[in-house]
Amino acid sequence: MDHLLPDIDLQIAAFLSGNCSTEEAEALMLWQNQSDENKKTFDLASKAWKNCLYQLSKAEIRNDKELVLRSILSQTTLELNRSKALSKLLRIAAFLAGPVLLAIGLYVGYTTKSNKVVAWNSVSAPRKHIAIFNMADGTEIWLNAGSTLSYPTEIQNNKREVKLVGEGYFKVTKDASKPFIVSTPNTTVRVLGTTFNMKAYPDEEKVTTTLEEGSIELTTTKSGNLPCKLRPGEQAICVVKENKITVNQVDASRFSAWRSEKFLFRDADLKTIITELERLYDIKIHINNPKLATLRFRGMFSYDQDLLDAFETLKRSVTMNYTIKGREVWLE
Amino acid sequence: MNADSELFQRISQGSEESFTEAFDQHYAPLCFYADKFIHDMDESRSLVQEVFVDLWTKRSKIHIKQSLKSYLFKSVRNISLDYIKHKNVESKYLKHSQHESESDDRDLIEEAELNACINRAVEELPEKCREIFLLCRFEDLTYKEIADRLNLSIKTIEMQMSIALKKLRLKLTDRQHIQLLVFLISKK
Repeated sequence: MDHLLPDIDLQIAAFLSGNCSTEEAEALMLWQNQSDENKKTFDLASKAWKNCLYQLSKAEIRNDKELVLRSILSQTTLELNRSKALSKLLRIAAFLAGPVLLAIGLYVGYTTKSNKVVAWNSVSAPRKHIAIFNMADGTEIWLNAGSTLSYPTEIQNNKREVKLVGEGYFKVTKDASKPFIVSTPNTTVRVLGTTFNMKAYPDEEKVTTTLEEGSIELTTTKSGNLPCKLRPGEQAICVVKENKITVNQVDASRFSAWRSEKFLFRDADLKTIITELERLYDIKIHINNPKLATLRFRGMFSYDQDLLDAFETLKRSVTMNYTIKGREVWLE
Repeated sequence: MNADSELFQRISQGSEESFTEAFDQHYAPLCFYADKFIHDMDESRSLVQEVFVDLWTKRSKIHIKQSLKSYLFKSVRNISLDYIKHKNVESKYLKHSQHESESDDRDLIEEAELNACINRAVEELPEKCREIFLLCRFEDLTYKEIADRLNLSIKTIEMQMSIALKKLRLKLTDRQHIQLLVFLISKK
């Protein structure tokens, strides 16, 4: 191919971009008429030049892909007509990866103060999937697998109030005039605009609240505690039975890793892992060998993994056997 | 069954990996294709994104007769023409859209793929070389202006431009060889 003049590309480039003199342009025309090969070279170069229309960079393409994936996450595949009519506070624009439907329930409750009937909607993330909601005020809420969030169909007493059973990650839009309140049976969190993760499964003895950004105020439902203020990077663990709150410094992002449909554990004992697996797969796990229970693990499960994968992952780090019968599993 | 329809099969079964594979493969050419109708790259990009979101959310309802690729191009064409109609944009493609022949459309697709091919080749240029090439191609700067702006000699700009152009034209040569090969194979 390179029987060409060594600088022919230089001359073609100068010609195409208008950086050559008339004499140079004429010389180039002469050159390309000398052979078919030359003509072909020139034609290809000008074809490349002409068809370079707009530069779509790798970064832009990556960014666009991100947009598409995010939009898919927030696309609803649900028939929301019924709850849409009812819901003014929450606009669920929401859904997750996977063809599983959210369970949407509706029940009617009473507000204590006005005695007016206010309807509540509730939304649950199905097992093995997370759910994402956008509220009308821009607040984003992620629900972990099997968790439920309830919300009134209209704002009451100038408060944005929701109830959480399970685990949720909240990115609350600032609105000082309407505080955002997340209540669980045992705790209440008051928010002005912030990002935090809250874990309040009814079968666990504690409520764990981890603050990523902003500030929140945590109170226990039972009296006897002052409101506890959290700073970013702090985690409050409320042991329900003792009605006691302890605050620790943590790596906050670790506690919301479930949002990517992954269960991360670092130096966790088997009991913690088992609790998560039971919740994820709706099963009961028994540990036959008490020695196993004290072992500590690190690793990761993806929510779309098979239960067997999960046990195989565990088996890789420790010698153990498992027996599965129906929805029960024995480890030894 | 060819690779393309297998890809769609996996997407319709819910494989996110196959979905992103389809995106990586077709996104850029589809954007250039939409731009042929709309003449606005930013709008074209959002429309193509919409098509991909639909591909995923409606994947179980979509029946693909020919190939995923032709399905995507057809969808982008429809959404683009709708967009123009909606915007009341004067476009020669709108008037021709009803009786536009299939071969015209094939040409447009072919051109869009060519645009995307060159786009990729430009992205693959070394950083400095790409920067110079883009300044020259899209900002219509002369070699002298580019040299001044980047604090380089005109000689360097000439050299880098020749490197860029050579890489692009060799890329097209490879592409033609591949197309010829595909053509010959499909003839058999």
